Amino acid sequence: MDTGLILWTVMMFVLAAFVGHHVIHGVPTLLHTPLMSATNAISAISVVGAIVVAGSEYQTVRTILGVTAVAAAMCNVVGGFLITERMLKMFKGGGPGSKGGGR
Amino acid sequence: MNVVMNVTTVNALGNFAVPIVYIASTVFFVLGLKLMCRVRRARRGVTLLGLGFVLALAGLVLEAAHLDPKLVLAGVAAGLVLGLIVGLTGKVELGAGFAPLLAAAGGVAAVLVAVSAFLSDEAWPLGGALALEGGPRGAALGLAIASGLAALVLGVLAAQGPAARGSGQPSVVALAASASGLASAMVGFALGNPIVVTVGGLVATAGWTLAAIVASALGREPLDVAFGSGGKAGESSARDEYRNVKACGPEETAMVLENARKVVLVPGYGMAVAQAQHALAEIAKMLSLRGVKVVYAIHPAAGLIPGHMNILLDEAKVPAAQILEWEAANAELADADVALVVGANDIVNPATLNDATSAVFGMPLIDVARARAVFVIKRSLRPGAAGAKNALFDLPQTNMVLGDAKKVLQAIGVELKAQTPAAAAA
Repeated sequence: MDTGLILWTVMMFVLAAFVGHHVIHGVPTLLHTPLMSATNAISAISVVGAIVVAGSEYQTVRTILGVTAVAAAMCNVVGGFLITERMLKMFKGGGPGSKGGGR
Repeated sequence: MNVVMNVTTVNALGNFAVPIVYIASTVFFVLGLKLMCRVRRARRGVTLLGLGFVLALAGLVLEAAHLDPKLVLAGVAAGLVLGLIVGLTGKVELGAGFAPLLAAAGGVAAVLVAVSAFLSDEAWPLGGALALEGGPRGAALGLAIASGLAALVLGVLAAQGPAARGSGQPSVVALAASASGLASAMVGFALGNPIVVTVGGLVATAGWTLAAIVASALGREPLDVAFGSGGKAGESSARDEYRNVKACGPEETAMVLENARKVVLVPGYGMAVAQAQHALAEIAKMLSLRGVKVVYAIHPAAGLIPGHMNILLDEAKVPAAQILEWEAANAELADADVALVVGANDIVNPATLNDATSAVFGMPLIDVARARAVFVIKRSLRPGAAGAKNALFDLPQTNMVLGDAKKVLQAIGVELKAQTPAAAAA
């Protein structure tokens, strides 16, 4: 553990947090739900950590936890992106009756 | 630090490739979120976010080639299949969507990784100099587990709690995403992976900010939307009978409409289902030609998802100047002669203001009772999505026009044309 390098990581986190706050700005009502869905999808970035745990040669319990985590996070990502895409398509098609609609 | 130096000497290119891929990934994530705040760019935004994700995974593959791929691929495949099923068949609409449960799954994933990391003090294979050790590692993992569990609770609340029935749901899911992002970032700290730290931090505040924006559109605070009041007694009051309902037909409605000076149209879910926006716009046009002032009142939660009414009215070529948000519409209603409610229920329920036991209490209200006469086009007196009785239907100035929104509106249109030859000619 190198304290100096870790502080750089902490700084990245702090800056990323500020960017996250400021990049969400002037969102029209129309986009509240799709943006919610997209944010939800990328919040499962922990899938990267999960993959490492699942793929490393640890004892069985940790591997099981890791593989389950990979599946759960991957489901969140894939499902989240698809639902977001369908919501935006629905806008383009203009209503629940159109073929891209969600009903 | 030794590991990093060895890699530097052995393979300088490989040493640079991973950070460059991670930096590109971060840029895509930030730009993607930015574009997703703009209606015309939103789809490109999703594509960028997806690319960011692919790059993050590519960086991991470069960085961690030594991993055993079999179990990883099994997990990825299982998640992929589940995600495809949910993503392609899940309902997109408000109140029933799968998004909250997906958010809960993300929280669970972060908790599992953190627990697994807790189980052993072994050196992290990737992190090298970046991974935390000892006390700070424990603290980060503890925070990861706590916020992952918070995401799980919020996801379940959004799927089944009081917020699930109302317009607050996107706010609660965004909060869950925020908690899940924070959990990811903490996992990233403990494991020493920079992309997880950065994207986790980004999502943590982006989710929180979005939750606050959605909640403030409803005049509330994000935590209040998630845990605050919501229909506890709604179902019992829904069984109450209506005592003073007056029904009338399209003819009478048309007569009152053409003699009004100001009419406020309130479209809801029922208009979307009946695809009645063109018939409604037609009526509005005929009334405008007669010199009646016509405005549309849009509730933030009207339709399947927020913004749904705006899309439909835009499709029917309604001038944007005639479309008002709920607060502006309430000001117009104070001196309106007629409020015409088309397939809406909960959004015009006065119980939002005065009945703390109702499921809709605290939601924004389009206060149509301010108008001198109210016409409600609705298929039946059945309660809306929130399951609450609507006292509006019992008021002396309210008239129910029962039937399919499109058919009723077309019938009103025929009456207006027949009774106003001047307008028909114009």
